[in-house]
Amino acid sequence: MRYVIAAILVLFVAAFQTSALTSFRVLGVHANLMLVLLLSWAMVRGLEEAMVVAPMGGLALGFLDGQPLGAAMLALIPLVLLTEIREARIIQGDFLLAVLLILLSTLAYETIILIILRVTGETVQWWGTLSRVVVPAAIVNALLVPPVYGLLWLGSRDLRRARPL
Amino acid sequence: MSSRTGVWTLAVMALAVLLLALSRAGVLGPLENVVLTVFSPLQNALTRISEPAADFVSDIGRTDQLSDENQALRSENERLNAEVARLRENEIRLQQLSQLLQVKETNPEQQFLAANVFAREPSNVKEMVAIDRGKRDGVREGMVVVTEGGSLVGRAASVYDDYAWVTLITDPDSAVSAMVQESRAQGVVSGSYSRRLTMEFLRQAAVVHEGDVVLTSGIGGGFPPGIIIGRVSAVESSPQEVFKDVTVEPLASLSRLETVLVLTSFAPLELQGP
Repeated sequence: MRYVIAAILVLFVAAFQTSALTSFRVLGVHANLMLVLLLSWAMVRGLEEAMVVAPMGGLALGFLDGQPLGAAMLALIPLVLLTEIREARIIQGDFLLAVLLILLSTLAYETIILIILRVTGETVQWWGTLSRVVVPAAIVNALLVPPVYGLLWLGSRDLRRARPL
Repeated sequence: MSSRTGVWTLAVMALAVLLLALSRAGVLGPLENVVLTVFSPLQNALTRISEPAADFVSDIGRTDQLSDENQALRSENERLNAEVARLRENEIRLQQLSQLLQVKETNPEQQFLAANVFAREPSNVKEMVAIDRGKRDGVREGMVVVTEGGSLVGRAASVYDDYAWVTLITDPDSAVSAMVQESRAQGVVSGSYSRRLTMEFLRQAAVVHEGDVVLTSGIGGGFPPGIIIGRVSAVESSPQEVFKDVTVEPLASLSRLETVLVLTSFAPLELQGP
């Protein structure tokens, strides 16, 4: 049942991200709500669930965005790998770690998309992208972490007792 | 990395690469077409619902009335600018034709197909919109897309049965052969990651002023000549540089596209090397 809910949620987020969310630009970029949702999912509900939900999110986004199908799925892989850092417990408190990981995940996501664009024959300005796209996108995504993480944590009643915020 | 995560990574990577290859080969086109067609009403509805909030955010500090007025004036301004540019272009063309009586008119009457914008590419490295017209409606890859006012929007990049993705002129990979209407100086209008248009390859000797109209030149065959792109908003020249640094403000409100026109009567040329 939880994966059915997850599938519906990622489909809705993909539709939202490719329509309504594109009307809002902060620091000149759009937020990547799917990335924030999946990272929060991994942090709140665990790596095991994230391993199922992340490909779903990549597939949903792939169907509804303008990139070739599979591009978003590939770009979301580092997110799950980065979540493994949590197990090392370098930073006490999942929320702070989530903020740190979203910065790294955004960097990885945008870099993979750029590599795919380059491989498919498009011109890519690496340094221009870093300052104008990747850094602002990482900041904007980090700003989205508190509400998304919080809502997911509140919605995970089954896990809340076991793991504090 | 645990072995479980390693296996998962390899599996998802293999699946993603397979999907990428199949998608690039066009094998998944019908499936992508069905999914986007099913979701387009939801995307349309979400866009409409979010419009007031988007307006509020972008026009923060203004009243709704001013915002609406501004939108109406912008549309009217765009239409009039396009009209003026078209008339000027006709006048210049007429002068040229009268001097070259033997030159035949090669452009037939232009035909347009109206389309609604229902989705946008969410990535920050691409500027694309999805329109609800596709192969079944006669849209082909490379076809030129303009606003209702006639200013340039972009080109159809990926065309499916019932919808198409249009690459906007502000896309970092977009390049349009262009000219300054007043001086006829020619260059290339390119997009960038900051969503600004720059006109490149304009020599220092070229006469360009702020407010000058920039049109498609037709060179290269990708776009028909005479379509308005925008106005020059800044000109920087340095004696050390070969070319001028010219910024162009697109006439079309590319972040708020709702309805566009696909120029179906113009077939772009794919030029080969000499």
